[in-house]
Amino acid sequence: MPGVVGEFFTALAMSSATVAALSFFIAERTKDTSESDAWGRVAKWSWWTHLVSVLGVIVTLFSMIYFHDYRYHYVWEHSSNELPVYYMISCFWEGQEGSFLLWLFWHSILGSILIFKAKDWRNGVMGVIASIQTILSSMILGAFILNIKIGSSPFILLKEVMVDAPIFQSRPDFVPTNGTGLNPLLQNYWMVIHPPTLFLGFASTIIPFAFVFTGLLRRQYTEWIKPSRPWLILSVMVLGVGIIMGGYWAYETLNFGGYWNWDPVENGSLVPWLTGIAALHALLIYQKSKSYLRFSMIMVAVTFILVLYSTFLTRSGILGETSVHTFTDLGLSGQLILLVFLYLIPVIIIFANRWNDIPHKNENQPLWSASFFLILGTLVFLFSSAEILFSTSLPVFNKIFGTHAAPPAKLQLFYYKWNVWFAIAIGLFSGIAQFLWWKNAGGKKLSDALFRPFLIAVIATGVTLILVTYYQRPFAYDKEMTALLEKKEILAYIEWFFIAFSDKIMFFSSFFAIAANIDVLISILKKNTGGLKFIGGTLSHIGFGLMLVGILFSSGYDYVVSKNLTPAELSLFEGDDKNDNVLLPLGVPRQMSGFFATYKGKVQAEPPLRDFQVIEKTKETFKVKFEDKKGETFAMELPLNVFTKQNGGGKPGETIHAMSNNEGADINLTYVKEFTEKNLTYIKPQLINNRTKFIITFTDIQDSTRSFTVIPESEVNQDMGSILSHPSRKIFAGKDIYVHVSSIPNPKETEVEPKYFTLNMKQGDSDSIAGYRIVLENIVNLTEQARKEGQILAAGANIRVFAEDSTYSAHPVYTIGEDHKIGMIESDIPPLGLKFAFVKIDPQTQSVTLQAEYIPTANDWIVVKAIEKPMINLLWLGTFVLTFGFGIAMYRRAKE
Amino acid sequence: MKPRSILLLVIIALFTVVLAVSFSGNSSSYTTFGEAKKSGGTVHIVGSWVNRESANYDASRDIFTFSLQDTTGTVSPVSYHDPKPNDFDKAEKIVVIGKFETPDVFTADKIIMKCPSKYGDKEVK
Repeated sequence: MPGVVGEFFTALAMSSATVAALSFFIAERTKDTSESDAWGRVAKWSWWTHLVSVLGVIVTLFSMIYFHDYRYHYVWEHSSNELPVYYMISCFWEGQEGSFLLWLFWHSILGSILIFKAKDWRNGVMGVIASIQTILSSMILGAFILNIKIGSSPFILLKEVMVDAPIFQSRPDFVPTNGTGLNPLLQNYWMVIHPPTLFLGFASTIIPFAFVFTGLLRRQYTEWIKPSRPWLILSVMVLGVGIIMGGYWAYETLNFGGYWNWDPVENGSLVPWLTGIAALHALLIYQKSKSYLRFSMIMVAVTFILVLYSTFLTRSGILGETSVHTFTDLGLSGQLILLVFLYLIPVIIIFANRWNDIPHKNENQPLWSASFFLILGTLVFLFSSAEILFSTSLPVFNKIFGTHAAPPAKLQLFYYKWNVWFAIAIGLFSGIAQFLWWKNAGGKKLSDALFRPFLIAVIATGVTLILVTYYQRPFAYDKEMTALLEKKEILAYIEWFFIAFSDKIMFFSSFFAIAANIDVLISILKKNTGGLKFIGGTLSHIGFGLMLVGILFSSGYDYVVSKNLTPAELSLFEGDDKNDNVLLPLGVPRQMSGFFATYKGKVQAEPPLRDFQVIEKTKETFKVKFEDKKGETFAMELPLNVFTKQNGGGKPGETIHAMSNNEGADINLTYVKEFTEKNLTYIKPQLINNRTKFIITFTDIQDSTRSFTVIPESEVNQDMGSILSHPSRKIFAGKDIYVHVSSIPNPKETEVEPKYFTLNMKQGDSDSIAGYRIVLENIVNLTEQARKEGQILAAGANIRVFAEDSTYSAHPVYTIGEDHKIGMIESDIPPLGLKFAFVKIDPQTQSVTLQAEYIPTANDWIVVKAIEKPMINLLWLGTFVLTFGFGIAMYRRAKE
Repeated sequence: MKPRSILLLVIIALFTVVLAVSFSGNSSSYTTFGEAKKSGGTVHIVGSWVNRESANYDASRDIFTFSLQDTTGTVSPVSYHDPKPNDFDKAEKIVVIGKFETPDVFTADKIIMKCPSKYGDKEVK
């Protein structure tokens, strides 16, 4: 049983981490060198045992997913046969248990590097890291100690979780043939790389923390800076990239039309990033002025503690109604609170104990100095993180104080009006501080040096505002501002004031940051030979400035293209101006600001087809997946009896053994492929996971040759008729056009007149009606059986119907009674809206007449929402520049 | 106390006060339809979706209407200027944020679906 192996490794990981943590700390505190070394050796070997155990747990869990071992709850809940290998990786961390494992994994890798790199800091630093490994391992332990649940194991059997499921009562050894699958939203390549990146960012915050803690323990208050600074830079760099990747995933996959929603889960990762940035800048203040050392140490510690705190927020289920993200509460709240306090309390104690011992200087920084502006900037980051943290923690306050306060109704605006001013300050300070920091580089007076960037920023802001006015793009909060003015209250006027000018000033501030930092960049490169290694900071600031411009444009000036231009007689309804969605009937162009949009139909499979694979098999049917010409993956369900070796007429030797299960029959995949390709227009296989892709063309009204196509996607929940839609984008240099399907017809709701068809067929004939292929397989003489009921003749028709994703059968019967009366037993196929009657037999021609009634189930239309996102590419470009700058800075600090 | 420390404390105190004021000014509360009708302001209402068959999305007008029952048992029609949100059917609790723009119909600006076990309520087949 792989689960036992997994549980063994989990227990070993926890115990070896405990031994490692204790012996590293004893080695750290033991004065005697040889004794300390002995403890160090014990610790090291325990650590290597721990590393092997963590890898063992990971390999075990992954192979269980890879080999579809649905005996296990985690595998059954998070994966399925349909998934390609790269999404099996996402399954791995879809659940909380897997993401704890991911965190453990990064700590083990980082720790193993530090064993070699941390040199004389090794024992203290590794002690801290090993200690958290103990706690994190306990999160996936899944043991009960004194009736208290410790952790939730990914190695629990399905039948242990679903004790009450009837199937396990009747068949205790039942194993499902397929899993319930990965959340479709997570079936995206960003979900393969975003979680590991984010968790590397989270995990690496412990390293600077461990250095600070050890420094305090040893009373070495300044020596920790040099070895830990590259790690701090790595941490904020990776965390930043992870956050942006998450935003990009949301932008590409979800359909709220943006990359940032101020959701508690997002804020939980942003706040430690902000404090990490503050810590980084606090260290620069210390470097320049030898003051603010205590502040720097606190910021490093706070960053790590906040990572633990957001872990508690997002995993304990406390966020409840405030978050759109969903969490399965594993009942680990107690353990998660413990995790926070286990580090918070010792840190507070040791800081209190060493406080006056830490070197500190009470000297005011001169106004026009780099240190002064760094202090201001750092404070702004601190305020911003405090504001976000405070607002996000509302459910925690509700819990503590028993209140029922809800978050601000206009959440976006609430966060905007605070953070836009923080961003404005950061933009200005970053430009000025850089000049002062590198004051020798340019050799000019500050006012002279800043004049050019100031002028550039003024011009750029002016041009921007003119363009925005020319294209009539409203600011996102125009409506809210009007509402505030109408209130005629003092507070409302103040609020209005803070919103009304914010965007213009922020444009200026971010242009200024970019221009000033480019100036500094140029002068560094001119002045210093080998100046390349010094440009890290400057480059990051340019990147940050670009990001600010991109964010302000794409979120403040995004524009709904699909305004509902309802016909005049209908627009009497109040609130029609709110309508941001447009109905597109198949093939009918509809106008939406500047475009004609036409819904052209759905993406269908195109031959040649390849890579046929059986993914599921039941007693009567099997499910097969394959790829078409364009590499799209489709899936369909077919009847077993037609395609098995025995019945299928395939050539001998061409049978492919299907997945082994007790139904046993061999499916002839070559025949399946031939058959599907031949009948593609009738079968219409559906994209895998019930997905549908809609082809929509946009044609520019002024220049009809300029057009583009977008293909948004939706997944239909078959039981409910509800859809989950993924947007599609057309990316231009200066903007994205972002389109998603917000509604499709619900087959249950549409009622239409029935149509009738008469078919004259012989055995084996086929015909098509209403887009379905009808095959008369055979006619069965049922007279023997019917005699008993007083019939003199009875015949049944076996009809097979090939529809979009599956086949159906119908069996109408024709009878003649002793009184020569003709009887008909109709047979219908409700999902297709088809009903068959067997109305006549012609013995001469051996043909039969069938009548079919068809009730069309759905009209073909979609409702779409299209948004223009200006300058969003600046955000992505800025992210690259910022990350690149961090990379250079990290390289430089690591070399020192 | 040095002047600098005092200044810092003042700044922090000011920040806290402004944050608290801004929060109380902007925050809404979890309440009921009855209260929302009386106050007329923007509120959060937690409830569950009832009379499911009467829910309807009018594609030509782009309005989704449904009935929500709040925690006190009061049922009110809710209108929403967007199609039915994803996962609406699966939600066991629904939070609507908005106000009564007309006396009888609650207009939601935003809908949050609460599905604590979105993928946890799978059945063994």
